[in-house]
Amino acid sequence: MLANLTLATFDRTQRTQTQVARPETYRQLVALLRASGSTIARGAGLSCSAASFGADALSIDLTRFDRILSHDDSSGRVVVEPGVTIGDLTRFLEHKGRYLPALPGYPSITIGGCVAFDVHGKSQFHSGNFGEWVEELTLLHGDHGELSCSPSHEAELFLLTVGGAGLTGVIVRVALRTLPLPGRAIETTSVRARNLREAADILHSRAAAADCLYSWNDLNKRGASFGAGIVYVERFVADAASQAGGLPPRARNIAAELPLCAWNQATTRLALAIYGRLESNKRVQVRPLWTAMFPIHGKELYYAAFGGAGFREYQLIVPLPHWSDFVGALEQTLVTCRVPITLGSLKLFRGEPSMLKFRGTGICLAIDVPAHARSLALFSALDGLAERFSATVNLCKDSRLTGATCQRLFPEYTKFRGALRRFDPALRCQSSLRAATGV
Amino acid sequence: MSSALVVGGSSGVGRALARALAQGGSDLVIVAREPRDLEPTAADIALRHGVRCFAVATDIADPALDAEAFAERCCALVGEIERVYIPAGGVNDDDVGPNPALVAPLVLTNYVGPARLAAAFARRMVERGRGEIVLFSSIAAGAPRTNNVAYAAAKAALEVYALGLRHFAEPRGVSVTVYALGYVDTPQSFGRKLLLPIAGPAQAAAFMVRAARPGKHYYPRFWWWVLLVLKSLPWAIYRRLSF
Repeated sequence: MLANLTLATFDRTQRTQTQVARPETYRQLVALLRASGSTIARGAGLSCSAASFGADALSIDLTRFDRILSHDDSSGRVVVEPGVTIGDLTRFLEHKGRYLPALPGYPSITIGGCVAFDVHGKSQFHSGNFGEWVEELTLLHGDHGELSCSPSHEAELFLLTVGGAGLTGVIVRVALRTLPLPGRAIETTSVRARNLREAADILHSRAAAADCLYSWNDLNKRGASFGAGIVYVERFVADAASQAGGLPPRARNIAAELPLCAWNQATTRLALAIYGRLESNKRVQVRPLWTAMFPIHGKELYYAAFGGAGFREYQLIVPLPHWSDFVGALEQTLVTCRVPITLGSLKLFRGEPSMLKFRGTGICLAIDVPAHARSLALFSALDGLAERFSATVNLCKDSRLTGATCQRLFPEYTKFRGALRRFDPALRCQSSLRAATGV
Repeated sequence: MSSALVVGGSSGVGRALARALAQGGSDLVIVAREPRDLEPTAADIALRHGVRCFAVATDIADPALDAEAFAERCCALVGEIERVYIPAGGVNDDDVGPNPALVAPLVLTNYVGPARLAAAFARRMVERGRGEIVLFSSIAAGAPRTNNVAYAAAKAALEVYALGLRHFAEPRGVSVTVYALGYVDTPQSFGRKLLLPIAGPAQAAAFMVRAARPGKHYYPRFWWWVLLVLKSLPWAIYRRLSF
């Protein structure tokens, strides 16, 4: 059950040799928590930050805790273990005529991971973050034993756990609210945007009539075309051809890597030009639920092409009043840093910042770049922009953030740190992320 | 609708077998020691596959277990059980060389418990003239070594018992199978660097529930060749092997 393994962040920029256990029973899990000094829970291992392992912590792989425990047909409440994947849960709920609205775009991500990073989906502006769909959590902690929390019971523990990067203990049970499924297919309308500002305007103008909304933007273009791309406007539709219960799509390995990085200025420009041309020819398409809900599934080659050195992702929410100025400053920064931007994408966000969660109101921008020295310089510059424009950054997307940067970027950093240390003064939950951010 | 029993159904190959059988539409009784693991598994199977799945918490290694009463109890839940899978068993890290304290517990867990249940269900099946018993051995039974002395002996005893039971039951309409499992992705093999590939539990389960295969089989099948080589080695070479 115990093994010495080298674990890596999803972006491959951090690798650590560490002890890993994969319990299959509660007796084994409890014994591990009691016997080990420091532990940290691990799900699918698809976070870009080193949240699920640490040099001095036992990483507890919870993928065998993958059971759906109950489902209430009338209320739609579903209770699951943390290792259930969002793909599995979506398939199960689809049969029941329900769905979970706040889901990220890859089916192998586990529910425990969704709680730990309070993740979001393409409908954040309607549905909020994942934590808003969590009714109750059950945790196991080496010192405190078994604990339950919800927004109304042990509310501070709940607040710390949702988006708390697994630092309050091992989640063993998650009760979730779900919604009736409005349709078994998704109609996607592609709208061209001439630049990044126009893409944001389209997001705003289409939000009221859309179920999901996001954009793809080419941030390698300059001037009037900076950030030109496509806005995808999605809504649920009934489609007799897309019934639930088909064979699950073939499992893929999203952690696969090519021997060398294939992304440079030339290949990025070429690939994005081809992608942009292909996408702009699509006006309206109706896709099965699975394909539309998990757009990254099937695009694993994109991540493999970064090679062993990996990539870096930056995601931030820019408050609306600052958006226009931010776009100008961003273009200047990208001109200076000369890093190929392999992905640029926008979403709309609504919410209040809290603790270290990725919440706020504004435009969410995500950027991918190959991991090399220039991209580190770019990300430091982006930290400066985030601070200047009061943006919120996404801790789970960035393996590089330090305590000092977090203190500057998260107004509630000290509050989170203090509450976490009161709850777990012996620091029984440890990870490289915790060590780096100093929480 | 058919019905099946999986002993050791809350984890590893047992849980995968239970899921595969439920996917095929069988009502199930799953048996394991710990209610805390058993009940979530039963709930999950019933919810995902729409079959009835009953959890019975029992320690099959308990010397006092009345196997016939246990079989009666299981059959009362789903009607007569047509397929019985007993992957329950376990290793002990201290089973290295001579260790008198481990012989009895390992033999109870890996031989007495499974054989006793197989006997109780085989009797009922023979009365009806149909049924399927599937037992689980290990490649260790064919290649015992320093690190699994008592475990390998118990599994070898189970293989012999299965073949004897087959000799009795098959002419009476009941099939008896014993799978000698190679490396399967369970807690025992987790993270180990092994020379040969590790099979996933779901893969193994899908193979095993597809059709009755009376007799002894290796899974994955290439282990037949590996064991053929190991068994052919002169002792002077075999004793030097470290695996």
